[in-house]
Amino acid sequence: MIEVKGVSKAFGPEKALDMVSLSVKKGSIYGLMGPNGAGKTTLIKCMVDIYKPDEGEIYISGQRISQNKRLKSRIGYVADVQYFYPQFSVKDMAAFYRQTYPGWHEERYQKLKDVFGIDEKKKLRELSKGTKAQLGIFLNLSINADMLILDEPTSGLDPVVRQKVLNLLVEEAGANETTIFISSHSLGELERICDHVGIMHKGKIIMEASIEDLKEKVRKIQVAFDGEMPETIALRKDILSIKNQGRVYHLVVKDGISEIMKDINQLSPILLETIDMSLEEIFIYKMGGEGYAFEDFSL
Amino acid sequence: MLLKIFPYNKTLFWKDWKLTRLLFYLAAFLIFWDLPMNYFRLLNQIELEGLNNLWFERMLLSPLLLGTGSQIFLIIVLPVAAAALLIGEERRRKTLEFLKVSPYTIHEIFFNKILVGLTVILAPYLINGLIMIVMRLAIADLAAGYQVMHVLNWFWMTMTLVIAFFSFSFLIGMVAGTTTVQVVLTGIFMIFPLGFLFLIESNIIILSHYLGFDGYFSILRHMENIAEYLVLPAYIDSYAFGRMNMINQGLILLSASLGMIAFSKILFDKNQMERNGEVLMFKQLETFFKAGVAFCTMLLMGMMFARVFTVLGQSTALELVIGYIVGLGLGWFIPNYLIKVRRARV
Repeated sequence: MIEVKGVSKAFGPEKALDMVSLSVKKGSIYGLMGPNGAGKTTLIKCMVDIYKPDEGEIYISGQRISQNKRLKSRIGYVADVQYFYPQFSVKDMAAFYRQTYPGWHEERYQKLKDVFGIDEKKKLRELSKGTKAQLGIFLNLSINADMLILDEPTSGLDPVVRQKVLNLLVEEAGANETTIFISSHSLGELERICDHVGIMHKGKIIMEASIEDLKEKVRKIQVAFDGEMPETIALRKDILSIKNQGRVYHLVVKDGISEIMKDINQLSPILLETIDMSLEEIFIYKMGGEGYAFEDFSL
Repeated sequence: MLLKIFPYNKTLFWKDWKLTRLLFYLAAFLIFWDLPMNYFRLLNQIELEGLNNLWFERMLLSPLLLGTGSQIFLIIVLPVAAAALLIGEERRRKTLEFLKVSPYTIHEIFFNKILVGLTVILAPYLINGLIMIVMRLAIADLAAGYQVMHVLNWFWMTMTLVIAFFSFSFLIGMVAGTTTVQVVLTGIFMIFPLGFLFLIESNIIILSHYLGFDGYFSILRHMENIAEYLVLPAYIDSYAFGRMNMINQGLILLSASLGMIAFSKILFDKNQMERNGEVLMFKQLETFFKAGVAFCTMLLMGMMFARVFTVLGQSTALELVIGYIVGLGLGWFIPNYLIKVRRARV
């Protein structure tokens, strides 16, 4: 459904995207994670034809998006900051969408308007950042899009609305087979709704996998020995990180978990179990490996 | 075929109309106040004071011959403001990004902006022109002041002028990244050919005084004569004083406008959205812009320093040189700083 092939984009000497490639299947929800300045917004803006890539190609449903009216009429886009016309009212904005997108679904719009509780008569300049974000989401959910591209759509939303939005997105992907591409810093949210995730760092996709594969690949082992941890385990290269609290060690392991478990078992540990890792933990370990580690500090 | 060249789109037209309609109302009211309403007032005055044909004719005809300040003000401000709202504001607020994502081609976005711009700047004149024609035909006393032909001439003059100012400002909007830059550059380049020659001439005269050569260069005078044709406000004067045949002048302005709109379209196609909000839309222009501002500021500051110290009675070549250095520094530093501050980031 979405194919990004070797896309690069520079702003002056700064390379925002560096040979980015990824693919998103039809009807799936793809989550894009990455630290600030990783290039997520730039990639999204290239995907929706705001920016022209310096190199590479982007295909949506097998077609290039640039100047493609038919394709654009089937894509909904929610920007990280909603650039709406401040002098327009909510009603005006809805009218603009209604006349612009042939797939506009009036019934759904009326329903969503009630769900979000936004006053149609209000001018957009009177709306808060969060309310504008809600408006962006519900207008794009009303156009019956084949694909929704969302750039940090839940930032600035309160927890209740955030929950509503996530439920609506899952429903949209499930019921209408809408492909959803979403970037977010809230990894808990991505973990809940996405089938697939990609991690971006310094303009590159450093990892791309399904949530299931990712959780299967990267796991945490909790182990305790009678004494110190044997060196044969501590020096293994497939262990990403080792931390201990007293005699209990937490090992983060990438690939080949069964082999490590077998080796540890042979050393007769007093405790040995595997623990599932959250997406957030995987992200932090992965980014740590890329030199973007979290360090404890105090002021 | 015609629709393909000029793809009218109701939604885009309506959207741009909503952004600019206030200008239309304001202009329509101001013109109404200045012309038809003024005629009503004059008619009342006649009833009270009796008819003085000469006075009446002068009072009625003067605005129709672009002889009033309010008419000139509107001819310049209305089209520049319309172009700024249609392009500069969309860039500054980044709403052009929103449009680019929507299912409209660049072609549609551009031409509907031109169409709305022309509607906003022409409709107030057209409506008031029609009112004046109806008034003239309905009220016999007005015959002493103006004829229908005068109104038609007035409409031709204002129409060609506002279209030219609008096209010029629209063209500047294609290289400017924000509303402020668009308006400031429109103002500067509107008078640039004459202003630049004035700076060169003044500096040559000052330099000739210090270096002891003849500061009169006839070539500059010739260039000034040519430059007058490149300065848009000069065409208002030209109409008002009948310096050129009205039809020819109008056709020149309309042809120039068409050229400017065509060039704007080429530049609009090349615009990169990531530069919206920057000072200039094209990186290639930055060095030229900085060097140009630095050179002009150098000439201006040199001239100012020399004049100030002459008034104080202590003028030497050193003040001129200091003026040049200060002007050069400021003229390079300020645009350079603005460009850096407004630079788009990842």
